[in-house]
Amino acid sequence: MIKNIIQKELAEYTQNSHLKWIVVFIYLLFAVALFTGIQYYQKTNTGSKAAQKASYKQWLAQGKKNPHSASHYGFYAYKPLSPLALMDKGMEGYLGQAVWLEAHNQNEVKEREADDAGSIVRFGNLTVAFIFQFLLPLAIILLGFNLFSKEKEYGTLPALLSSSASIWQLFKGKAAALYRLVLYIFLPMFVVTFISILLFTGFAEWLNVLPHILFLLILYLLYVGLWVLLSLYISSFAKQSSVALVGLLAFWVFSTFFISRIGSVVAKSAVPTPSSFQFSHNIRLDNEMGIDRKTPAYLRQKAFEDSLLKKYAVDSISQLPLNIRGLNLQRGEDYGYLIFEKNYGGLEADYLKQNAIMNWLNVLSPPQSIRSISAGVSGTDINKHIHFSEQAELHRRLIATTMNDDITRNSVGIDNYEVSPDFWKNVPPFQYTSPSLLLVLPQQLISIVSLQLWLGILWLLLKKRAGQITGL
Amino acid sequence: MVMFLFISKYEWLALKANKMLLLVAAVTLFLLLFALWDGYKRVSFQTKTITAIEQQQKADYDKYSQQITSAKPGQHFNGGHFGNPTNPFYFGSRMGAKYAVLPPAPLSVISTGQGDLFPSYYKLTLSKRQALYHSGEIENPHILYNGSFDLSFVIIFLFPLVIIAFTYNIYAAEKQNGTLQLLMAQNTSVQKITAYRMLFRYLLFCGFTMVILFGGLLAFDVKVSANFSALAQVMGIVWLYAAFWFAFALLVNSVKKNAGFNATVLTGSWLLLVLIIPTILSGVVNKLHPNRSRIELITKTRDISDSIATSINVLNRFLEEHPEFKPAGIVQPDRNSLTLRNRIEVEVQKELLLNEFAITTQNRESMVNRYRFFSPAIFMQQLLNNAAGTNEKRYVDFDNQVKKYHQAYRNYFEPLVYRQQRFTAEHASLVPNFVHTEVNNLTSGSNTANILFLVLLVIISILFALLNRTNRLFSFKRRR
Repeated sequence: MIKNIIQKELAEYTQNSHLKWIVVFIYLLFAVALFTGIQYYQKTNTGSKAAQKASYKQWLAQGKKNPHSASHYGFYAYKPLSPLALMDKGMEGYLGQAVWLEAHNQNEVKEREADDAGSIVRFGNLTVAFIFQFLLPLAIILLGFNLFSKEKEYGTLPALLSSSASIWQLFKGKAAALYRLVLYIFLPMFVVTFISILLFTGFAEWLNVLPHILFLLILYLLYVGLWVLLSLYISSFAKQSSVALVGLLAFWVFSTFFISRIGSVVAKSAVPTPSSFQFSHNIRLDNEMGIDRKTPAYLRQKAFEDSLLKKYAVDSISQLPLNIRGLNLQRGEDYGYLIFEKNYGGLEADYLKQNAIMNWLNVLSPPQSIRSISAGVSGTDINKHIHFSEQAELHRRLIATTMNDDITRNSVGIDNYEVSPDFWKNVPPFQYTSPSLLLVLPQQLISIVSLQLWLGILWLLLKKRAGQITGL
Repeated sequence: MVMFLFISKYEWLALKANKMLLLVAAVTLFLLLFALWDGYKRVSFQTKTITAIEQQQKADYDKYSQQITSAKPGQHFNGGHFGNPTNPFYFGSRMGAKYAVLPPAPLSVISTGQGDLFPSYYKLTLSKRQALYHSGEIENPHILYNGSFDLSFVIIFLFPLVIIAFTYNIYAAEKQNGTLQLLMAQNTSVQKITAYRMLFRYLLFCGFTMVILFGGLLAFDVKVSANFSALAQVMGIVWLYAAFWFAFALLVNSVKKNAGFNATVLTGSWLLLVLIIPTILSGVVNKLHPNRSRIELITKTRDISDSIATSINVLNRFLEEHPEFKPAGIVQPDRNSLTLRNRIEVEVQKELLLNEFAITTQNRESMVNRYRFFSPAIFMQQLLNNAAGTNEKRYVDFDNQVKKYHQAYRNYFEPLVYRQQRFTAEHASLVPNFVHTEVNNLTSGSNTANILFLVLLVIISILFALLNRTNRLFSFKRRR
């Protein structure tokens, strides 16, 4: 029975003149988006790989130098672009790409693309993900708003009711037909994207992100189904198709464009972040006055030197078997770690709190939920960014410790201490390891659950609705 | 006129009896006030930060001047020689940092614009100018990505939707309710009645918006009378932009299809104009004028500074050319002089690279400008950002002023550093301050062109709608 309904609906769609235009429009935009995505990936990725190599080469070519000068010179860590950025650029434009690993300071990850891009990019980016998340639902609405209401308008409902098919069967058949139609539109695009990622990022990278891609595929299959059910549900209520259409369009606008910006405002009001002035001023005060604001720098140094005298059982600093300068530098670094953990850690915690608020609000909006999951899984969101900056910071500490240890151990009693050029090799190049899918998914838990809920609730509502329809 | 008033009266009665009016009014009220409140918070945050900066700068100068006055020869300072305020290099590099601040423009509440990306203050020291590059305000990237809920978002993105909801079925509803035949039997043409009803709704919508907007601006501390001309321009723009959407709705209504068709066409056009066209234009700009890579710049800059290195030659050459900067007596140039001079040399060479960035930015901007007429949303964004003083040009202009000021700041310290002079409290009191000079944003030629183009769009839409009296213009729809 359901098979017949599906066939009948699909046959009707083939005569629908809208369908052709919708497909042409979406495929055109998809072509543009994919092309842009590939270009973006290639350009950014080759750029950052080359720069990473060049920066390490500069580090190795420093020549004879004092290790602390080298530590100041440092090198840059560049954030490699995730292969899935080709499909979903996420918030990459607003995240930095490079961080300077230097002595004494944990730096921000800088060089945001948006800084140079001009105000036109504030309208957004046309990405493959944008088409899947925002435009595909619009197509579903346009194809499905009259899925049931047309039976009322054409006066065919009584005939249907008198047939052997139940309303629930009718619903299932209609939904399956629309779902199948949408898959005909969606799957070719997804396959092309899938192949593009293989072609343009390389087999190894592709294999790495294969679980991510498959996860996204499952997610999109559910997401598309969600919109099909929603369209049918609203359509089943409307006396006139146009009312269903306007209602669905209103929800589409609300969930795609409205809720995210409301989320920004709510998150910012609930969890304010410090100004950049306040932030750096706090770091300055932590340095000058101590994190507890009671132990200024000179007291910290004195306490440290006293502890050394005690530890090595000597009367004066000059009797120490190690170089005090190296020890002091490392002590400064160690205290710096505390300061940066407090300040950057605090800021990141604030960001995550803000994100949680936005994610909770996104429960109201399936497009925003999937947008968040997709950026997370694609490695183009802030979680991945923090993950990167943490690894970069560890590498900065590695540089500082390697340099300071050498000064401490090997420069006792030497005035103008310098090391030979091949010493720099003791610090390995920076290599970022991106998080696995299992690490990413818990961060998106709210959004994943919310999508399932939407789907489940719509299914139940539709079932209930089927029981309510008895006649005109 | 009599006809218009007559129709208006009954339109008003009909609207009053309808939930739609209440809904549109409530939504408009909420959107406007919420956006203004958000803008107000943003501006207050900025003002508070500026006050904190000014206080801190004064406190630092007072504190260190005091230290300098009471300093004794050979005294130990916290932080070792880096903490010695009587050394002009250390003072200028750290303790005597000065801030250059761009105050929010009077109408800043109406648009965040580029203000959440570009810095509105810089901390200046003797370090390289490029070290300042984009030391922007702290903001969660997720929030930047979402965009802000400011008045400009409400006007550009949401107003058209409210207008669409308010107008999409003016004609179709008559058809659906079966009152169309009644109307057609009248002396006046249905087209004319629809146009008058549309006009009435337009005046109602804009009038209501103006009242809320003025009230909101007053409530949120905007000096209305002092900025009357700029505000009048903003209001004018809002009237025009709304007029465009009402006229367009009239045009779509004139095709005399059902409400579903109208809603689809209007929402589709909205999507195309405010989203698809701008993003495609942005993509094309990226393709034709790709941004230069900041990442490559890092590598190049390092190469430059490595090549200049800490060679004494740079400083010696400079001192030979400028003997007036040589330290008095037999004192040799010190490490600080060398560091400072090297920095400046690197900066000069890097400036050439940076100019390429400025050229690319300009090319991108002029391309956007050339094609901005494809979508009113693009030049509405420009118009509102210009009025709010959050447009890119104002920030670039600020940057240029900062650049000049930084030069003055450094010029002041340079001779003191090279001559290895003792830095005194009097020296500290004479360090130059930054004063921002406002450039006029509103009277540019492109603004006028934007406004004229909006007027043109309105007229064209109305003309088409009126010409479509017999529905011949879009008769291709009837082929089916």
